[in-house]
Amino acid sequence: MGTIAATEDVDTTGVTPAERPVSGTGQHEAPPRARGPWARAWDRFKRNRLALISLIFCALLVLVAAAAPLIAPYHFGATDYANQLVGVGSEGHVLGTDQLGRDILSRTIYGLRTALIVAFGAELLALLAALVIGLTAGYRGGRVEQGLMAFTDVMYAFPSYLFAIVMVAVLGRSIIALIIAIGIAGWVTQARLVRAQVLTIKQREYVEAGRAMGASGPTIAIRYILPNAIGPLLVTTSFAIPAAIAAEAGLGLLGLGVQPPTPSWGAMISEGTRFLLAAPHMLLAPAAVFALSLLAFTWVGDGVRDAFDPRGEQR
Amino acid sequence: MDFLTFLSRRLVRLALCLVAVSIITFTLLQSAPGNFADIQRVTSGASSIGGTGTEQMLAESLSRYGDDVPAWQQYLTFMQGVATWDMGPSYRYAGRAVEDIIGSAFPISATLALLAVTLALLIAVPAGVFAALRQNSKADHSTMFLVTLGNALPSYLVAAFLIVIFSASLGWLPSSGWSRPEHLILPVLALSLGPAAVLARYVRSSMLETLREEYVTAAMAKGGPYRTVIVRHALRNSLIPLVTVVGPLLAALMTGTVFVEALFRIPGLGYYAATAAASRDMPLLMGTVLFFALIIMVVNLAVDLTYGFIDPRIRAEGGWGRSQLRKTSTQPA
Amino acid sequence: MTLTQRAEPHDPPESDALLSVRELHTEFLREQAEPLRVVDGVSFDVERGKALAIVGESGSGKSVTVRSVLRLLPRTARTPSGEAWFHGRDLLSLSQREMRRIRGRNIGMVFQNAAEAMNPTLTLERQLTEHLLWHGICGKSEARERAVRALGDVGIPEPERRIRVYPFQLSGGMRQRAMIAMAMVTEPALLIADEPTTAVDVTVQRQILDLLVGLKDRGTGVIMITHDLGVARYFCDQAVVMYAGRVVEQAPTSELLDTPRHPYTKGLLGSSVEVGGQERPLLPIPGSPPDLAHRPAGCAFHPRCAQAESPRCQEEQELISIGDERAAACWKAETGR
Repeated sequence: MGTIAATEDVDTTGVTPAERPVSGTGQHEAPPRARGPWARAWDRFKRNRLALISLIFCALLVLVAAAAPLIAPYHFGATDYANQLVGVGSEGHVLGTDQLGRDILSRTIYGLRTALIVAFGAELLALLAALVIGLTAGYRGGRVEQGLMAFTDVMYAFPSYLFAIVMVAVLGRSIIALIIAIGIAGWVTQARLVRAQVLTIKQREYVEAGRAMGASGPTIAIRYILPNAIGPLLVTTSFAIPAAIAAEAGLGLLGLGVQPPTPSWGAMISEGTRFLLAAPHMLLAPAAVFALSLLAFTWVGDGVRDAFDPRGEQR
Repeated sequence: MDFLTFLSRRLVRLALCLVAVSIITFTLLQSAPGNFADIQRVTSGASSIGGTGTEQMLAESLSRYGDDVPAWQQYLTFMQGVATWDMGPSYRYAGRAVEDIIGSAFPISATLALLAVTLALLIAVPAGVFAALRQNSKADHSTMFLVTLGNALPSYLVAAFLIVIFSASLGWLPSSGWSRPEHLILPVLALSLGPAAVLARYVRSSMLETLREEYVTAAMAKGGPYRTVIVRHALRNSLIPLVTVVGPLLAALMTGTVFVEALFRIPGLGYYAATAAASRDMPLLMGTVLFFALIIMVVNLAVDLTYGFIDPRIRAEGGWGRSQLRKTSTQPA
Repeated sequence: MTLTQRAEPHDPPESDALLSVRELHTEFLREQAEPLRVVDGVSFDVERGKALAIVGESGSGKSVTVRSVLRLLPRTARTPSGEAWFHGRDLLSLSQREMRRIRGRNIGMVFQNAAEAMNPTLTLERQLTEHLLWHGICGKSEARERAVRALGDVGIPEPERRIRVYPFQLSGGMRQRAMIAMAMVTEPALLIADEPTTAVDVTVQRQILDLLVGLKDRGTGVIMITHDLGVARYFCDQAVVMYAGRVVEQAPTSELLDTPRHPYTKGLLGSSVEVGGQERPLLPIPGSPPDLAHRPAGCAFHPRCAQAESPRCQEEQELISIGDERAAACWKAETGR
């Protein structure tokens, strides 16, 4: 190799300033105390200020969603016909009301609740499906593996949104239907990831050793392979959460979300466009909270990825 | 692999995928309680049409598919309709055949998608090159921040904000409809920002990678003017792999049109797919879903062919199919 | 040729050398740290029709030295200081625009690996003619003729046909020769070759070297970066040994290899297979080159030096002239042991 080690040391190409201290001299001088991969990932995550703030914000969102009945000033369906389409800052309605006099703040909060229930539910479902199918496919190979690969090929041509639309058309408009529709549309990539992880880890010595000591297939899968696959899986899942939030809202926008009057941000935005001139806050309030939530969850995802894969490409 | 082998293999795979998609969709829709006609009869009471027209249409549909034939025969009947471009009447849109709706809606969606891709490229290539040439500068960091925003926010949310700004506040542009050229502006803008973000990030990292290639240094060592070296040696080569992203991106864009069309009430393919699903217009839903899948697969194939033609390494050596390998590694998650 | 001589700033040295580098310093900027000195006070001359070898391990600053002269450094590098006289002009004081007119026209460069240094998506014709056009040396059709002739000169059969192919369609040795043709097509007075034979197999290596000998005979000055002392002996007239960014020994190649004075040069010879030809055990130099950010005090080589027992090794070592043509940066060198 004609490259000169010295130039590689100083060339900052591909290395962001934030990463410098990590990969720099500190490593040699003061070896950190022996810590597990999780603690090290958390250390790296903490150093990313944007991700940390986003994580706190997301935790707040989850709290608000969980305590929605306590926090929201009104029930999401409560109509106030004396105050239809009133603006932001009105008496009793901080973010105004919609065409039926329903409180926008309350509906936005309940919309958050819908979004998070669907998103977390769908991702849990997708994760479970991915683990079972991915582990089986990677560990056992054979039919399951062939089936998975063939299905992946088909799903590549079958956009997940279309699939979710068909599913909702079949299952009807309910929270459970949405969870299933979005979850099923999302498990394929994860299953492939699990399978790939299993295939690489399967060859490693400690798994061979475990097998030599007579551990059974499922034991090996759960005890040895799973813990190693969890890091990458956590990364994809944390990116899948905002995608699922967006999918819920998207279906709501198409009129395929939860049954009214239960609020969905997408449906609120869609309704908002009809009263755009009279009451822009109808659209703006849910859209703003929606955007902030998406960004926060995405940045958490970025942080998780960098924490588990610090040398990974800055994409 | 030579070109013809490659092409024929891909065409066979495309056909198989299309059949698989149609079977999945058909099976799913069949597994809903009742058959096409029953569901329509139950739900049409709530939808805006109803009346004698519906009854007449249902009767027509029943005679077409048969009331008591097994599901696989209904499927074959439907696929025969797809193959002969005669898919029968839509339930939701009285008096219109599914193929007519698709025929009129597709050009609209295609216009939106193509304009959006063009705009995205026009934004992304200069932005990505600019950011790469000024790596780690303030300009680079702010470009990349905008990229994060564009990447995280779905097109319909961008559309919602654009509507608030340009329709509600400024009153410059219409917020819905599809008859005048200005109706194009906001939807195309909303659709293009996400892909522009993906592309800009890709151009940047591809450009950075290429700038580190020794042949760029070698071109400088030959005394090449900076701009010529950047354009001829670096940009050219960093744009070749970009073609592989355009495929998945167009697919994403096609789904984006579903939501943007719904929001702007544009009578495109996505709009019909959504209303078909909402009103359980099964023939129309089947038709639109299949057509969507077909378009996406054809676009992907076209992209792979293009890649082969513009990369001399594949063109000259008959390395068709190699772009496949590349795509799986560059495909955005 | 005396190495300690320092000319007045911007006054060409009296020597009639093709290229005279004096006190070259190159630093790279770092985040939150002192700039890193990668090339530290390097001086050498290249004569017309002669070849200079720059020898050293990876990371010794060889490549950065020649890239400093060509002013082809990454953006993180500071403009090098010192002087590099070429055709009566100090290259280090030229603007990038003026430098561009010299690069490729008066100074050509050959890289280690043609597979990386040639653009895979442009034909040979494009790559062999573009700099003729950039420098306005000739028109398009003559450029093509010259390119075909250059390909023929480096021994590529059927140059008329081969000029239309892409680099990846050539064999490795053929490609390496095409790259040399690319550098030579403008007939530069100075050729810089950065390990041109490292990436090719032995038979091709010989062909490449013979090609370069032919160029030298026609009056081209050559700088060859190499860590292969056999290549240096075969091809180069003078040699400069670099360690940690500095010249530690400088001598005519045969003298350097027969009677090395600096312990590092001795170490290099001891760890090299081909030199001398006789069978003897390989003795790799213990340790590894220093991290330039933590340069050892005094002689940078002393932590690895088998003969470093004196406190004098903790002091900075200047290049000491030994006779007319030699110098070494070790206090023991004078005594010849």
